[in-house]
Amino acid sequence: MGRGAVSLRGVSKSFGTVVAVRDVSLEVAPGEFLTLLGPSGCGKTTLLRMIAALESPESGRILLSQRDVTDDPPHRRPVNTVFQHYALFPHRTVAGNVAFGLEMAGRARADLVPRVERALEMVRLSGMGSRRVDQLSGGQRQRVALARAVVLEPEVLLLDEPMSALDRKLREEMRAEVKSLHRRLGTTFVFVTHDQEEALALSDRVVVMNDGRIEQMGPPAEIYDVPRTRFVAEFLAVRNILSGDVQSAEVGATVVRTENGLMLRSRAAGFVAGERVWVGVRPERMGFDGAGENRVAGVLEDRLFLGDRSEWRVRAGADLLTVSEPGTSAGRQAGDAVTVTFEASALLRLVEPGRRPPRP
Amino acid sequence: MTAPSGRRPSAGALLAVAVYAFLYAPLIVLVAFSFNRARLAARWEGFTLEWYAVALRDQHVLAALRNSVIIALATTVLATAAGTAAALAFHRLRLRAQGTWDALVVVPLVLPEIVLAASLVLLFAAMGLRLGFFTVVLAHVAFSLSYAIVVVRARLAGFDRSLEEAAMDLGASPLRTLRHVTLPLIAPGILAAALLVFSVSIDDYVVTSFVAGVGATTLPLHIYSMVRSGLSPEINADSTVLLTATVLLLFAAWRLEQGRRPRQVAVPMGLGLSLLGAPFLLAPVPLTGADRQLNVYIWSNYIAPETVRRFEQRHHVRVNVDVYDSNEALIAKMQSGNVDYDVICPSTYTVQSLVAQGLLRALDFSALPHLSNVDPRFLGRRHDPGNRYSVPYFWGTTGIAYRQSRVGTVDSWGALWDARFRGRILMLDDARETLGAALKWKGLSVNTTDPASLALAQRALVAQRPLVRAYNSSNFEDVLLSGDVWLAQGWNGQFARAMAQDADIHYVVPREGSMLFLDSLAVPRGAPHPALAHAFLDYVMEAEVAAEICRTMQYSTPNRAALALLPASIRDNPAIFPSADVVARTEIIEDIGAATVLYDRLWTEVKTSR
Repeated sequence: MGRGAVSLRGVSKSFGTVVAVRDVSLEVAPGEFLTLLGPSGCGKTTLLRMIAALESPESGRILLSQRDVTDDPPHRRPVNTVFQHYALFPHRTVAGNVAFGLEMAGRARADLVPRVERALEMVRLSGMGSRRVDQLSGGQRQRVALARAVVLEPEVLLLDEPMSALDRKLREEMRAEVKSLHRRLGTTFVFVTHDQEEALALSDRVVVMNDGRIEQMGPPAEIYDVPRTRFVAEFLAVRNILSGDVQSAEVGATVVRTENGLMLRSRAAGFVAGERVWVGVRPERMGFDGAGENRVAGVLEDRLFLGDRSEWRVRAGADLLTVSEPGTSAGRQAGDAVTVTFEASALLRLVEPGRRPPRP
Repeated sequence: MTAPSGRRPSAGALLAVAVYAFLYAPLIVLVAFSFNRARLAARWEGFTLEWYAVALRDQHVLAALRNSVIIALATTVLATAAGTAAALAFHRLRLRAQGTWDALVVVPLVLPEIVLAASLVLLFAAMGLRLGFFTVVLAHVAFSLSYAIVVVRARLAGFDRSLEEAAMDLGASPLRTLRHVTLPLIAPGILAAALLVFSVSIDDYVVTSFVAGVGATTLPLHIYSMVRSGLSPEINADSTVLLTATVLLLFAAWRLEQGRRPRQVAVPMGLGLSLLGAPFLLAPVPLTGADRQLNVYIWSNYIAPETVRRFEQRHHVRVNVDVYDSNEALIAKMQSGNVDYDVICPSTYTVQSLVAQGLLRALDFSALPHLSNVDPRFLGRRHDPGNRYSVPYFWGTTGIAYRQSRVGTVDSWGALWDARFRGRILMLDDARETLGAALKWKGLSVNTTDPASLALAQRALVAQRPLVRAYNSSNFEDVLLSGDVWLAQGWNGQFARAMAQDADIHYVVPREGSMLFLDSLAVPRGAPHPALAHAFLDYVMEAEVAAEICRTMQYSTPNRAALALLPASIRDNPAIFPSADVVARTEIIEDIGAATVLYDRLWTEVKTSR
């Protein structure tokens, strides 16, 4: 069948001299929850808008449910969008907004009313149909936007940073709601966000984009645990990124000598002896005076208390490391000499397409 | 320490009250005086609905109002639709050099209207369009389009483009997106644009006076034209009705914008529309079945509706009566060459000017048997020897009307220079008439082109200026009636009507002599219906018709045969029919060619002197 499948084949788009999307190819499986993750300007929204036909690609083809829709205008594509700032029609009521698409499709009134009611029920807005849009809270507006899009039973639902305008608590609530909606509908979701937590929490698969290109894609756990490029690592909060030379590259026991002379061991694959590389370690994979093949002496510089954990900045020669420790880390104070320890398995090998790490 | 609030109104509140008073005081006065019994606006003499009754009966004003409403509505629909479309296009297409395009939209707004008017006349002539209803609508659309674009664009500036995207995303085609999302959301802007266009169209004078043609006399043109025979408070009544209609429609529009249903605003909307629609019901219905028409271009109140109606019935034709407000406007319209008038009513010096430009048609005397009714004193005068191009229609004199109880008996122009009457003297606002009065006073010809004589006259007028209360050519008889002035220079017809209301007012043609004016009927060279035009000229020279016109207008008829049919009150009124020796002392104001410029300059210097 393939209903709900999305295929992007070599799609490019630029605005004037600015290239927004560079030759992107991507397959989305029917029913998949796929997230386009990246900083603003990375091309993720442009890519989404091209699927909705709100932008047209300069080259490449777009297929929906295995049908080439590249030249179809927005109103002929079986996709619906939840817009970043909701884009609710201020001259219509809540029910009027939800009914808009059905009216455009020429649905009979008798069919329309129960469907609108069901859609509002689905987003827990039953009985609010006659409200005016400007009487709603941000979260309620977001739900109306969702109901308005799903009531048409699109083959693919596109969500353009739908929660960026909500405060943190509402965002977490909506996250659960979107996830449950996806489970109940079984529709393909393509979701755009710059929030890594959101992407990891919701998605079946995450596509990290940078500068109009796909940097890395995979299931959330893989993206989180094994970022392959320096950009993805930085974007997913790998704080300790250092450049160095590979001293010896034995499988499972590589030694990298960093710019400032630290000798670090890694179990990651792909190192080649003598090459210049980036390596990185997540702060939470590091500890103080614990087990681990990597041991680095340093001095505590300062602390950020983050509630469930504390983050220490540790001066280790010319490098500044960030180490995360659960709890308040009482008993330590700035100026203490410590040994930072971490497993060889925690050391990631990172590349940077198109650029090589600096020579010492 | 802070001042206790709520005790004294703040300076800001006072300023706000002052601003609103400034904005609305004229309107309140207008409405109030539409119920004023007095004929003049200056004094309250009790409540009356008389002016509304007069307005209801005045078929010319009703027809003009109907024309104004039709033109304003057509302009509103066309300019608002085109302006909205243009605004949407500008909004959507991010053009290169957007600033330049924006500026080009605004330029017509700041262009002097007279420039636009003149260029439109040229354009219409070049395109071979005959001036008429259509050209007025085109011209109004041309100058109001910018307003519509600017207003709708202002609304679009705050428009969220993603709403249109959302609509298309939800399955609406571009056209349905426009209908269901874009237009409803910018509707307040479109409505505001429509109201603005309607109001600039309905009160436009300058452009309209240039491009109006047969059958397209609007209310402003009519009002301006009325200055010749005197403004009447019925205009206040008409304006009040128009104001009420506008306020009702605005109120309905405002309620609609607040989200009321059309049914809930039916009452104000219906009332407003029916007020606007009233002239359609009340204005004269064109004679049905008339297969020919005659187009008459004349001053307002220069011909009675009944006179026209009888001609229509006799010849089974439809007569369009359009009005102008100055001889200069008449000349300009004739010069444009693309207008279809059959009969016009120029003054003497205008006849000379039109003949010199070859714009009049030589008359066929075999079609004018009733020319024999005309007093030979008014035939063969210098402005049209042998009456080859014109026949006399009205005549009158310039003189002084005065309040006898205040100034005694007057028989000389010198009274207007009498320092005892400082601030109680009114002069016409007209170069030829004022310089003419001074020239006559000094024993000189009113048609002199001698610079020394004219300098003498100018010095006299400058010396007189401190004594003069006002220069006024439109309602000088009202000012005299109101008691504001005791002596007024003016034309006899209007004074005759004032004398009928107030026995204290007397009229004299000064012993030094004065100006005689003669308005004639003539046929333009390009007249489309010359045979009918001759029939009309002959018709108004019939004794009964000439008498009827004289009774209605109270200006002197040059028709000898009509005299016998006039009541003694008119025939023996020296203000209407001065004696032969008075007429003998008068001079006709003639076309003085290039010296006109000199007269105008001298007159301007008088008015701007300190």
